[in-house]
Amino acid sequence: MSRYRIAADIGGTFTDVVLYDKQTGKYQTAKSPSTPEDLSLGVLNGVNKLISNLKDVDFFVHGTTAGLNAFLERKGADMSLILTKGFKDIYEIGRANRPEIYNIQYRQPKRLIERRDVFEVNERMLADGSVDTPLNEEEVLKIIDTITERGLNSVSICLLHAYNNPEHEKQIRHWINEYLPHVSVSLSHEIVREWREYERTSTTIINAYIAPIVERYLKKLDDETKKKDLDSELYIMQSNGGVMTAEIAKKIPIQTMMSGPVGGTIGGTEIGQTNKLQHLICVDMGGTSFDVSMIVNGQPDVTSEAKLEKFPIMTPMVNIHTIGAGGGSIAWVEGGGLRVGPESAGSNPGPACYGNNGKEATVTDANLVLGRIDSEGFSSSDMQLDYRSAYNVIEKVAEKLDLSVVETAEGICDIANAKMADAIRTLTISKGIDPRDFALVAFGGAGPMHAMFIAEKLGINKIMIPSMAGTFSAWGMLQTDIRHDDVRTYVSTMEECDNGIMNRLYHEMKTDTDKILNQQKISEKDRVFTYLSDLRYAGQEYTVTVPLSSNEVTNQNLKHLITDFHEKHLNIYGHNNPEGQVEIVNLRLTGKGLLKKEQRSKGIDNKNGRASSPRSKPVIWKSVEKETTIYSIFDLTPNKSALGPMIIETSSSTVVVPEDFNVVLDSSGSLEITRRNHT
Amino acid sequence: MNQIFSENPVTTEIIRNAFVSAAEEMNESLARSSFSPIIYEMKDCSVGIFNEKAELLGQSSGLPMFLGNLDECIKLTSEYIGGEENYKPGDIYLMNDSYLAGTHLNDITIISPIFYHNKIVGFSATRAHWMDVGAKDPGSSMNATEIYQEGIRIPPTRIYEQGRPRKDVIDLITMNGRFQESSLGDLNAQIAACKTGEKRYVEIIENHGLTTVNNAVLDIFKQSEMIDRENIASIPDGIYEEKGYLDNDGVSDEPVLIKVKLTIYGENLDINLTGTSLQRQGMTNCGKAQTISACRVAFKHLIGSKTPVTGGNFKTMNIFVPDKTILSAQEPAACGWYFSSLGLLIDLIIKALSNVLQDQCAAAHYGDSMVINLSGFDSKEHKPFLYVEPTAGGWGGFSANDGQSGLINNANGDFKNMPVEVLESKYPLKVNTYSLRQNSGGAGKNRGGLGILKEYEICTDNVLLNLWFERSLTPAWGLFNGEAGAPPNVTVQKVESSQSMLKTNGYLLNKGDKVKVETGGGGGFGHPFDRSPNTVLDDVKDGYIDVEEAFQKYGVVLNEKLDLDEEQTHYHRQTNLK
Repeated sequence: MSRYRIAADIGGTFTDVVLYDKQTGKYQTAKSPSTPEDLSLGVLNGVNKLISNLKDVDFFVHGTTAGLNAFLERKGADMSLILTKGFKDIYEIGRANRPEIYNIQYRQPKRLIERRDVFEVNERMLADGSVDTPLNEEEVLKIIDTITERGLNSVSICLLHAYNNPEHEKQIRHWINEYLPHVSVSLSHEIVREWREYERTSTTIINAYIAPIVERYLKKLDDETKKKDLDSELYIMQSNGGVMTAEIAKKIPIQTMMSGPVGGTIGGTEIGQTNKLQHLICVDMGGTSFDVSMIVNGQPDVTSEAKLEKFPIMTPMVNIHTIGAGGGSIAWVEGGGLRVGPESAGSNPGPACYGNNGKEATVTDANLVLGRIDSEGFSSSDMQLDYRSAYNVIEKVAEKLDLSVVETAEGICDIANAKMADAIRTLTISKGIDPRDFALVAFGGAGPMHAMFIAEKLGINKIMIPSMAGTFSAWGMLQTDIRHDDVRTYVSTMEECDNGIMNRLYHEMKTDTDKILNQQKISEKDRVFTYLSDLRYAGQEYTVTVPLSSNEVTNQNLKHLITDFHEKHLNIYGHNNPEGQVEIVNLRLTGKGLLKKEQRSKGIDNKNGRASSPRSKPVIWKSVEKETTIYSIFDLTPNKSALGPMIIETSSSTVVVPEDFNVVLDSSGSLEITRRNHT
Repeated sequence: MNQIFSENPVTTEIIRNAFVSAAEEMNESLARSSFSPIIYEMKDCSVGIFNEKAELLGQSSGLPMFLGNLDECIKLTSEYIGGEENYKPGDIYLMNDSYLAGTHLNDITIISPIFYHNKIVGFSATRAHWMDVGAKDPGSSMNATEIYQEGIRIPPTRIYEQGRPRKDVIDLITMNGRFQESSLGDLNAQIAACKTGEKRYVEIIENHGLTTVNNAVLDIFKQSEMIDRENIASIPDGIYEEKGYLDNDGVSDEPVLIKVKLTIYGENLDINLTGTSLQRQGMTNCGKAQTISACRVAFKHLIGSKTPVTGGNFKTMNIFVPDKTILSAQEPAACGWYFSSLGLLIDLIIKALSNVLQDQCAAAHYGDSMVINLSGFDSKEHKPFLYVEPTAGGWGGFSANDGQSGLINNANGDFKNMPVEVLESKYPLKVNTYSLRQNSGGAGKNRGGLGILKEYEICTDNVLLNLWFERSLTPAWGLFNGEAGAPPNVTVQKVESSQSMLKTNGYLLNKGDKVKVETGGGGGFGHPFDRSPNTVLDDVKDGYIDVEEAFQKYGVVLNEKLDLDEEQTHYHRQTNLK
């Protein structure tokens, strides 16, 4: 009997769980403290709150931070790295750039591997894939001896031009497997078959570094859920916006890096489909963070140029921009001017109102002083906020500016909102889209608190607050399909490109991807493939990814490809050069395995949520204190509109609605908010 | 509200952030759509939005050196056309003259007036490095002796007249370079960036009203000025002097002297460059506008706030340069390598103030762009090629940490090196080695970063090598008893001979020849004997230094199995302490 679908999202503080009951068509949610020492505990605790046995669950998905934490805390594998002779410092030098151009004390972040554990082998491939220097077995065996001596349990191999000819990487793995069967081996060409040696090395190393931790974690969770009779596969949310089974996740753990936050973007995609919105900006704001992602033409914006702590990751990821103006951003005074950020109080000590000895005034403190958050805190977490401390730190800033405490608090929020809006505008414009063509989806504990103010500054007229705003990432994970990405570098001008080679490379990727979908039990009819290529004008560095109009490279559809490229270039950059020579750089294939979702929502079944008679309290709106009604979302009548100002408390967030906004609760439990006179 | 300000600080801050963000948007637009790698990769560009008095409102710059002189170009242009009343909506101007704009001729500045209700309210401006503007050698030369050999010289020139391109003028400019298509692409990217700036400026005015924006701008300037005044006042009054040398100007062997004298009194900072070499025949000269910009960069590195610069900054900083020195060049001085002089100038200002700003300063970095330039005809691809790359090196140790190894020099900002896999696919070149250079970091309690070792092998005949490697006479100095980093070195290996050189122009190479470049390390910070012996041991294990260096420089004794001999180390350090 299959009745339930379940999703868990492990966050820094809480693990969120969402359960969908196909029989009743209703959702239930639960929060449980995250358990960093063994993350699976928090997941199971949360699940237990909703359901005690898993035998009726036919879909169990979750977003894990196991890999990300291991990376951030530098608690991964004991690594070694094998590189081509002469190139020992590919990883340490990187691209040699200095992103902080006015910092003479610049340091790169701590690397995942010590230089003493980097080995060189005498071998060499050339750019065309031909062998310049063959491999020497004896030399590799010596390295294997050293690796054994030092007790290193993970080897990454990244040889020059392996994207073109991977034979040497494979041969070295063969020898290592023979002599050190228990050491895990990552080959760069298998993680990402694309040129640029530093980026490929960095991606391979991160993958290898987190692999044992992710594997251990998945095994634990697998065992525990089996004990509870889970019969179906365990699915993991991927950074690219799809899901994969735990078996695949063990091979490409790097795809779990952004596992959690991506759920929100996918949730946004679903909201967009339901409401027929093509372009959405997803705003995920917690007490100290602010993440923005975008959905363009119904698809999440995915990048293969992501970075974590400045380390490049070439595998495709939903583009999540962390903007330095979240709830933790610190307000300070310089030269008589009020500044907000870029320094953040983070989660430790956090805002002053967290009562953790935070001495700086933050955006969250300002919200509390303005009455936009209750001292009960972000609803449904058990944290109490300290109003007095918040008031005191804001007062200190106010004195320096000769403003009242309320003016200062509101000013801090205004500046933060304007900065968030500016940052979002730059992001959308860099995609060639005017922000006014977007709708905003706001979630996370604090997203719905700032959404309307940000929307107003961007000229956005429609804001969606999902019913489960506080556990939205987990909800989003229930809306996904299986996804697998592959890439091959193929560099050629369009005139000279060889259809035969391109078809062979696409076919190779298709075969590999089929294999992976097969392993995840996706039948052929549920497989959808997208053929893409990265193009640019000859001489340019940046590429534009353009889909091919069919699954076969022909002269005819290459012509279309070029036309589409010119057009897309014009859209993104505002100009193009139809006479210019176009160059192809990479071929990409995205394979999707469609999953059955069948889950029209009939609202939330929340045991704690019941209508209470609305209360009121004083709230500051544009410097004026007004007695404002505080509704529980359960007080609202579906499909009936109400006018701001008001505050709506949902089970997991606080929605702040200023006076020019109109609110409607839709049948799925989401709030649809529009700016007055702008509908 | 505070008496000295005319607008609410919240509104002011929102407007200030909007200008900064608008400039970032301009830069994004420029970098992502330009045609030259030197712009999109190296970010050799700068953009800004200015009010009608050409005072800076918001800027974003890819290179630190471009911190402040677009305003100067706007003022010169207005003067040149007989006053700002002669601007018309839709006009666009272009200029590059070194003695006006301050930098080399490859840097093209585009200026576009911004109108609101038919009244001029400001300007947007962009500067970007074009691959080629017609110098005697492809790209740029290493040994020009007059500016006329460096390319076409352009005074403020109207290239768009009320929205219409002047094709004849644009062709005249772009046909004088070797890569016309690339120049046109970059020109369009620069114009598009100016349009972005204009659009955002007008939106800011529409959102807040012109009066409010003007008041806020006054407040923003006041804030900047106050911050500068407070920061300068916090440094002890006094006179701080330094001098240093470039190896030569690329033409004669005589070193080039730069002398700085800083005087701090209260909220004022005077920078006097008297005593600096007179302008030279070679290309290390620089226009005065850019010298001023470099002094501002040093200020920003050490003293200034992290908040972006505006038209209100630097009001109490006075810079004096006598005429006709290498830092105030006049016709016909060649200016192609202006930033070698300025890189040294910035380092010297930092050194001069190091005693009073110990925590903010750093020992010197390897110093210059260390450019290798290979050009010829690719017989496989049947087309000419030009490969240009600055090489990374070591940065200086500082109070909290070792210097960074293998990092691009100050003048090049966020420049990224070219991946070997891309390089070998695009050019008839092969890289045999690209690694850190052992023992090159200056010894110190906090060690200087390591330089780079990179060997190129030439895969076709008749390739011309140009080199500009500098700072062998004044390698990266240490501070507080730290030692200097290793100087640079280049070895050209031909079939029958091998030769060391640092600068050359048009040196002929053939298939199989090799060029090994080694860049310098950073200076050490603090006495090397104060470095913990275990940290020195780690350096040996990681191969940053060898056992010999550990003993000679750090007084650390290691046995054959790389175990630390604490007793011997202690004894050795005691008896050899200088």
